[in-house]
This record gives sequence, structure tokens and C-alpha cells, in this order.
Amino acid sequence: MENRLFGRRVHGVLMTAYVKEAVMETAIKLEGVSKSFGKRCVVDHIHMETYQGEVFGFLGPNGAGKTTTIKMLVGLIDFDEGKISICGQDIRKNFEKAMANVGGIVENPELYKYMTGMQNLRQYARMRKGVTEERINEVIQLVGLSNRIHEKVSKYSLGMRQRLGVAQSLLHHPKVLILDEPTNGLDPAGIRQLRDILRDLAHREKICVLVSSHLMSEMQLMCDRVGIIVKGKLLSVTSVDELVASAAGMQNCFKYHVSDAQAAVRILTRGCRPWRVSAEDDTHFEIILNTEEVEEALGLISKMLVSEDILLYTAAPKETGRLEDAFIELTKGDEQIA
Amino acid sequence: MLKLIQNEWIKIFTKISTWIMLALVALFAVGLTVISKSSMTSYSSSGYTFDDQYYASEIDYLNMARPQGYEIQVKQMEYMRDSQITWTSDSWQYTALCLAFEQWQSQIIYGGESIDETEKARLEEQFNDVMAPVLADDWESYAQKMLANIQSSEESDSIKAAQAYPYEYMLERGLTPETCSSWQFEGVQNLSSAMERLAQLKEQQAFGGYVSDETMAQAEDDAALYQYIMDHEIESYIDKDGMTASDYWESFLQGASVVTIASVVMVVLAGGSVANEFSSGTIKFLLINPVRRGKIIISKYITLVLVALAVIAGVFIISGISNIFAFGADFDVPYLTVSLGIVHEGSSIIYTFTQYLLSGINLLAMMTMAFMISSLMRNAAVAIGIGVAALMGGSMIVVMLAQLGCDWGRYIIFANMNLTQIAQGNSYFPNQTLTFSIITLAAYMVVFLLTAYDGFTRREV
Repeated sequence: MENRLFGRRVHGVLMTAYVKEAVMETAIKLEGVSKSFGKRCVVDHIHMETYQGEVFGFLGPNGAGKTTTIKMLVGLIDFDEGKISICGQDIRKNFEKAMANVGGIVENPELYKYMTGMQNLRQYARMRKGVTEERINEVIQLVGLSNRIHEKVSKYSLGMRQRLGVAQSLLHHPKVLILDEPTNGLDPAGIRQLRDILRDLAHREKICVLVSSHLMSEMQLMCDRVGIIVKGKLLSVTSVDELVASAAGMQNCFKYHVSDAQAAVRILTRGCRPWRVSAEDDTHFEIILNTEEVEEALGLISKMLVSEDILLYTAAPKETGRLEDAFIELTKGDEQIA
Repeated sequence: MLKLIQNEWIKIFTKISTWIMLALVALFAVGLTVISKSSMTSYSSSGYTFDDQYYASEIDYLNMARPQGYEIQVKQMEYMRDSQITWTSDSWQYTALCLAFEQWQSQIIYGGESIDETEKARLEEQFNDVMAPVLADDWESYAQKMLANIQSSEESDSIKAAQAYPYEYMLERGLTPETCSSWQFEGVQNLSSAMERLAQLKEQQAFGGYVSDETMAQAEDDAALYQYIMDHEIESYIDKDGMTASDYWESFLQGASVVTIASVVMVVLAGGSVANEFSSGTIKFLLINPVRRGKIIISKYITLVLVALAVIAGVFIISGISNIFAFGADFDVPYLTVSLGIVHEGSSIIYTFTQYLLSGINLLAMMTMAFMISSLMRNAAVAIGIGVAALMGGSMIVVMLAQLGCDWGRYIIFANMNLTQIAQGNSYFPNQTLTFSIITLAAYMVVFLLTAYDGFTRREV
């Protein structure tokens, strides 16, 4: 399983490259979309495009405007400025046509508790065009609810409701799938299953999957590209690999505690060395290695310090970089909820 | 749209609570039948018998209190006591006795100066002559005597014919009050008095007296109606005011009040219709579908109206069937209306169903109000609370305003709900016509529905 997953990861990277260069069919397009609740601007001129065949991650701290943006996308709330189109259909002018391409879950998967899972799905099937009985069964099979689909939803766990929510969103073969925190409440096996389903849908059926989540590790494994939103502004849209790579620069970063940091920096910056040094204060400095031969470089640094009579108290590697770090790095300074 | 309505219908009927409420309504419908059955049987007594103790206490009372016209009553009591009669109060003999006292004894007692002793004796003789067959329980000779009396009176021919009619009818058919059925006995009396009244009015008009067109038309219609009943041998019928002698139909028509209880159920359903989608969070899944919000709210309302109709029809059917068990099927009862002297025979089932639907106007108005609040406030408790309070207290407020003479009270929706009463002229406020009420009601409904629509389509989720 792990191997397969790893394989998918690599596959995903390749697919991303493929998507960007070859298909590039726009699924969701936001043009200067803004939204205020009273005086507070929640979403501030967002420009964004997602493509069919990719999993797009929507990242942001609490209150950044992720859910608001998603609600605007599916027509739950209106926006003040700008234009949103889904598969080329303006959602204001052609709401029904635009939404015919969309499936989704917004916030929690709240379903009719007094109905069975099947009755719930039939409700949604009736509201959409071209959903056959076979399709309903196919979707149930896909999310793994076959055994308990005829039970009342009130007896479902959160994870099962989440699965039913996903099933509901897939009924009508949507071209765009919008999922707000879809892994909420799922157990690790369920998360993996969902991840596989979503990646499969995106890459094989050329669906655009838009996912928001606060689980960064999840996003890292699931998404092709991520958009980071902070205080209603879209800070950056990058591929996951680029983001991780930029964070990976910190992987060979070490923090030194020495008797004289200024002197150490002076010595270490002499000549052409495979590292960058910066002093933090009188006794601390950071060094980033630009080489694969980490031990060799570290040995050399120790020798150089000792040769200049600088006492080395401690040296420790800084936390390794993952998407989470990149995310925090990008959004730091915003500890207060916007 | 049809599928949306189907969805809403399923939502309402998969809830167990809906079925519990409907079961309660059904129970009320059956319960009302049982109650009217027991009350009607207790009323159908066959008159009371007179005894000496009754005469003694009545005579004592009359002599002491001396109400107007007590003298003739005392005389009648004494006469009955002395004759040792055995009839009950609803026998033809008792009616004949009362009639005889009215016709002859009253002249003897209250005639005063204008009547001399010979005249008194003649009247007394006539009285005894008529009473003889009555005391002998011989209806036929009594009828002959009455006919002879009518012929010898100084009334015009048309009035004589009217007065003679019941006796002739019965004699021709060889019927006596004991052998003929009660509808015939009542029918001939009614027709006779209607004809007499009509004849009197015509005479009055012929002598230059003023008779309003309305009074004349009413008298003509009455005569036509009773004539129709006698001609077609209609045992019982429903009249234009919904009154009937048939126990079955009376109880069935009363069942319409169960619709009021059904309106509580409809207010609960309407109050939850939109609000429950919000409180359970399912609104997000509902609105994410490729369907305009306007269509969703409209289909919700249409579904509620359909459910209301189904509930009213259900109450109607349950009431109709349970009354068959209580009183037996009595389907040969027509609904008779008269206009311009022509009798129209209508279906009683359709008339009764219309009555049920008319009681549903209140239901519809309150349901729509609860629906509006539900859509606007998104709170089922508030919507249901206000709806039920309005159902219970609405008419109370209107009655209070009417008593205080606040004429603007007629613009309140509750003042305009009872259209049947308003059509009959029994409105709370003087300036309230049927047209006024219908326009006011319609205006309220339009406002309720537009507010509900606007609240649902524009609000953010």
C-alpha cells in the first residue's frame, strides 16, 4: 500500500507537469472576487484559476476566507465584486448550468438524519440530471458504503457521513468537485482511501478537485497545486513540489551556539564555501549548507572554528522542511485570527 | 419541479413525527363522531308525559308569577288534568290541543267586551266538538272536523287551501300521525305554513300594503322548497345553511371542525419546512444543487398546500366512514338550494367537502404565515409558536377589537377567515363584506408568500 502510494505520488508530479503543459482546460475561474461582511473584508480581490485533471488545495489559517470563497463558488453566498465562472459558465448569469458541473461538500456533511443513506442519495439524484440507479450503486461502491447504505443516517459515524457526502457530490459526474475539509472525521484508512479516490478522479476522469484542509500533510500527499490564502488575500499559487522544494532549503540548516558569533561568521564567509551564514546575535548563528555532503561540511566548519579559538557550545539541525513549514513560513506574523 | 415536490413530499412523510401528528388528527376525527353519536342518542327522547304533580306545580307557578298570557295556560293545564290525558308532549293530540286553545279558548278568555255569552257558548261548543275526536284518539274525524272548520272560516281561498293542505294530504293517503313517517308529517306542516304565509303576503300586497321584494322572494322560495320536498318525497335534506335532519350528515358536517386541529399539524410542518433545513445544516446540500433557489421555495410551498389538501381529504374520508359506522349510511340526502323559486338538487358529498375546504382557509392562511416566518427567521420554534398562537388567539383579538368598536380591526387577517359566516352576514365588523374579506385575505397571502420567497432567495447561507 505504502509503495503504491509512493508510486502515485511520483505519478502525480508527472501528471501535474502534463496537466499544465497540455490540457490546461479551465475548471474554476475567479476574477477579482471580493466579499465583505459589513465593514470586514473577508475575501479581497482573488484571482485564481484551476484546471481539469488536477487536485487543487486551498490552504489558509482559520478565518482566512477559505470557506467563504468555497461558499461563493457554489452559490451559497453572493459576492460583492468580480466574476466567478465554472467550466465557462458565469454562476450569476447561468447558475443552473454552472452548478450542473459542480459537486461538493461545504463545511460538515449534514444529511437528512431521519432517512437512510440510500434515501438521501435519491433526494440528490432527483435534483440533478441523468443520475441512473446504476450510477447511485456505483458511487456507493466507490466510497465503500454498500453494506450500510440502507441504515438511517442518524446511526452513521462522522466518517460514514463524510463518505456519504462524497458519494452525494459524485452522483452526477461533476467536472468540478469542491470539498471543504473532506478528511474531517475519517480514520487513517479512510483518509487514504479518499485520497486515492480523489487523485484517481482528477487524473483519470479529468475532474478538477478543489480541496480545503488544515491538515498540511494531507494536502502535501493529495494536491498537485496549492493556493495559500491569508486574511482574504491569495498569497501564492504554486505546485506542491515547488513549495516543498523551497521549504527543503531549510533541510540542511543548522543553528550554532558559540563564544563569538561575529568572528565565526567572518571566518566562515571567507573564500568560496558551499554554505550561507548569518549571525543571529552575539553567540548564535545559522548556517545553510548548499551541498549533499553534509558531514564533510560540518567537519570543516568545526575545524575552522577551533582553528580561530572560537568555542563551540552546541550545534543543532533546524526542523526539517515540509509543506507545513512552508505554510507557516508564508503566513507567519498572522497569529491573530483575521 | 415535480421531482422537487416529490423530494419535499418524501421529506415530510419519512419523518415519524408527521405520522404521529396525522394519527392524532385521525383520532380526533373518529372521536368527534363518537361524541356526536352519544349526544344525539341522548337527545332523541320521545317527549315527556304529563302527570298530576306536573300540573299542580305548573298551575301554582303560573298563578303566582302571572306572566303575560298565564290565564290561558292555566286553563289548558286544568283542562288536561281534568281530561286525564295520557299523551306525551310530542303527540299529535297535544299539538291539536294547543291549536284548539289558540283558536277558540283564547277568544273566550281574551275576547273581553266584544264577545257576548252566546258567542262564548258557541266557541266553547266548537272547541269541545274538535276536541272530542282528539280525546278519543281518532285522527281521521279530527281532520274532517278541522277541514270543515277551515272551509267555514272567512279567509280567502288560497289561505284556506294552504291551511287545509296537511289534512287533505294525510286523508287522501289514509295516513295518520302515528302511521306516517316524521318527514311527511313535518313536511306537510312546513308546506302548509309556507303556502299560508305566501298567500297572506300576496293578499297584503293586493290590498296595497307594502311587502319588500326580499320578503316576497323568501316566502316564494320557502314554498317552492317545501313543495319540492313533498313532490319528490325527500325524507331529509341539507339546506343552504347546512342544517339537516339527517344524523349522519349533521355529524359529518360537524366533523369539519377537525380541520382546525389539522391546521396545527400544518403549522408545525410549514414552520419546520425551511427552518429545519437550516438547523440541521442540510440547506447547504440542498442549495449546492443545480436548481434555482426560487424553484426550491416554490416547490416547498406547493408541497405544503398538497399535503394540506391531502390532510383535509383524509379528515373528510375518515369522518365520512366513521359516521357510517355510527349512524349508518344515509346517502339519499340531497343538498337543496332555492333561487328565484326554482329548487336545485345538489350532491351532499360535494357540499360537505366544500364545507371542509372552507374550514381549510384558516389552515391555509396560518400555514402560509408560519411558512413565511420559517423562511425569514430560520427558526422552527419561533415559526410554529407564532403560528399556533395566531391560530388560537387570532379570533380572540378580533372579537376584542370588535367589542371596543375599533373598525380598523377588520383589516386584520383573523377577522376575515370565516368566509361562510361572513357570506351569511355574521361578520365581526359592520363594513365587512365577502368581497372585502376575500381581497384582504388574498392581499395577506401575497405578502406572506413574497416575503417568504424573498427571504429564502436572497439570504446568505
